[in-house]
Amino acid sequence: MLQIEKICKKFAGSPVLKNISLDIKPGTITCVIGPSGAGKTTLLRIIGMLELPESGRITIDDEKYDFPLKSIAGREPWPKTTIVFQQLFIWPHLTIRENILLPIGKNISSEKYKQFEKLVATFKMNSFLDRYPNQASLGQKQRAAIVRALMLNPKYLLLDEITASLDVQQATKILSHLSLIKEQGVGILMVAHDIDFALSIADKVIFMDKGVIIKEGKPYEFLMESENSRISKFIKDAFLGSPDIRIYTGVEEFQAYHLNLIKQLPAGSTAHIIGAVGDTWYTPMGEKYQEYVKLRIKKKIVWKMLMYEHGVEEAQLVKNNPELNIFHVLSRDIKNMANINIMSNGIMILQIFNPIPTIIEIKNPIIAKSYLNYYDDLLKSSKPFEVK
Amino acid sequence: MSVIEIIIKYHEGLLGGLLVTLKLCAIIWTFGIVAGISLGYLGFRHKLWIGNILSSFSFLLSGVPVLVLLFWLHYPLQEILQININPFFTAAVALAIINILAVSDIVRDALVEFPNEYIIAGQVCGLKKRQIYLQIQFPIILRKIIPSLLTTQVSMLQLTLFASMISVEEIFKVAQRINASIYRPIEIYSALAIFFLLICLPLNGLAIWLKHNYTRNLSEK
Repeated sequence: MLQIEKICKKFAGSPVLKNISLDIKPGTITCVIGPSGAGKTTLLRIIGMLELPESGRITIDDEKYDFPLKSIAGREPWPKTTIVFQQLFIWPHLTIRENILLPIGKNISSEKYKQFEKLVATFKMNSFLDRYPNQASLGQKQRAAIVRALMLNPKYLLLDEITASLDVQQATKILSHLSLIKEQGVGILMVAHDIDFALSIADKVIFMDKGVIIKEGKPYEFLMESENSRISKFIKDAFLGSPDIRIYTGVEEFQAYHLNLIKQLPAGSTAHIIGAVGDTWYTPMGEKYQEYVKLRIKKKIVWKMLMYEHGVEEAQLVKNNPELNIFHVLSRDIKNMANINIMSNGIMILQIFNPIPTIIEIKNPIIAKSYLNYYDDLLKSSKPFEVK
Repeated sequence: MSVIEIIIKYHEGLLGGLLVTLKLCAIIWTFGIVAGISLGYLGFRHKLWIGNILSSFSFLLSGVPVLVLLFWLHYPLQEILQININPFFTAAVALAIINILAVSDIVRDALVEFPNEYIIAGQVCGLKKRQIYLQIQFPIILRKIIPSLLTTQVSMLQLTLFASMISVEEIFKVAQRINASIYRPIEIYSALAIFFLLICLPLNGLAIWLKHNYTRNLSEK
């Protein structure tokens, strides 16, 4: 485990990190978010031992570093711990291929070369592998920097805003690959300005501001944050102006939206529903409900639902089509919250039923995935719904 | 008398002058590159003493015309020290000093401007100091300085003409002598211009080519 305890760092006399403590466990992704100037990158550089703090301790597995320390000469943690920077620093005199292979050394084993070829294929780098960095785009260099780090098989991987210059497709590819690396036991710490990125794959999110850790928790806890205004403002600002959010109000729009959605969903897909309360949903659906049910049964669309309360209709659904209706009852300890539906096509909807039926649609697969994790966590403390 | 005829008739004198010019260049280039690179590196490593002294000398020399330096070393200095040095060596010393300072400036600037992040990227990839130096720093800096070094050496070759002013029998002086005896300035000086063009242009072209093909953009912007 990589553990940092009570780390303090000053720049020109003013503190930039104050008593920071955190753990990076192997096989986990920790994401540090926060506004500019919060001290995120300094923290990353300290964990990577590129800067030495004034006080505190860093433990990397069995190696302990107690600060203040003049130098770490002879005890460098690299490449066991390695870093990919926001500014990538791909060596300009070498091709992308040479950049990746230089740290491996001259005698590359066949196993290592296979790993290289696999990574090159995964990140679709073949077309620019023999280009010089000045002939490659920022996104291509970004991928090269990540692959260069991955080729070293680090135990701890520190990433500094690595998706900043990537398009959604490339970022998603990197995210899914990071999940794979995580499963191989690598502990990953990411500094991210992009909240989507943090919420989608992180096991733990740390919110920093003014050199202090304000909150540490699961990604979805941040989406629901309302107590700390600094966090909620940061989250709100990050999502403001998103073109992926639409609101539908009124009974007609409510019904039309749901009918349209069920038509669009692929056959055999699953909708995850969190926070259902009795029969509230069926009322605004009115006469369109039967049409909706028929379509759902025809397309074999499964509802996996976590309910606070259940009504007559739920019992009927389970009785008639148990394979399509997998319902659980939430623990009473869990606070009541909005009704959230997560669709298999990456759409998430929040619903309000009274006084005016309203749907807030968020087309963001990353947020949807984050809420799926939330569903899984709630499921652990829920009981299966049994029809009496 | 045509250019060819002049060259054939006076080939011995011209070859002698050319040899002196080349000897002068060999001294200036060798000292300039070896001592310049060494001093540039030392000036980077020990900025306070060597670096600042070198900067001061460079600054001082930038205010003194080459010809004045050459004359001062040839006449007043030797008069003060009561010595008599062969003008060839005086010219060699004067131009070597200029070259050493120019080269050390190029090297020092390249080292100062070298982005530290390339070294950090090497460190976090687990490369040893020696590997970082040999495989990252040295090749990048070499690519950056070679074009400037080449153009500086071409300028030094052109500056050797000033040696004629203190009676060094280099090619320009020889050309002047031939012209004094046969008075054919157009042919003689045209031949001289062609001679310099033939040497300088390929070197300058090589510098441009190297800069274009091997000097990479070090910024990440």
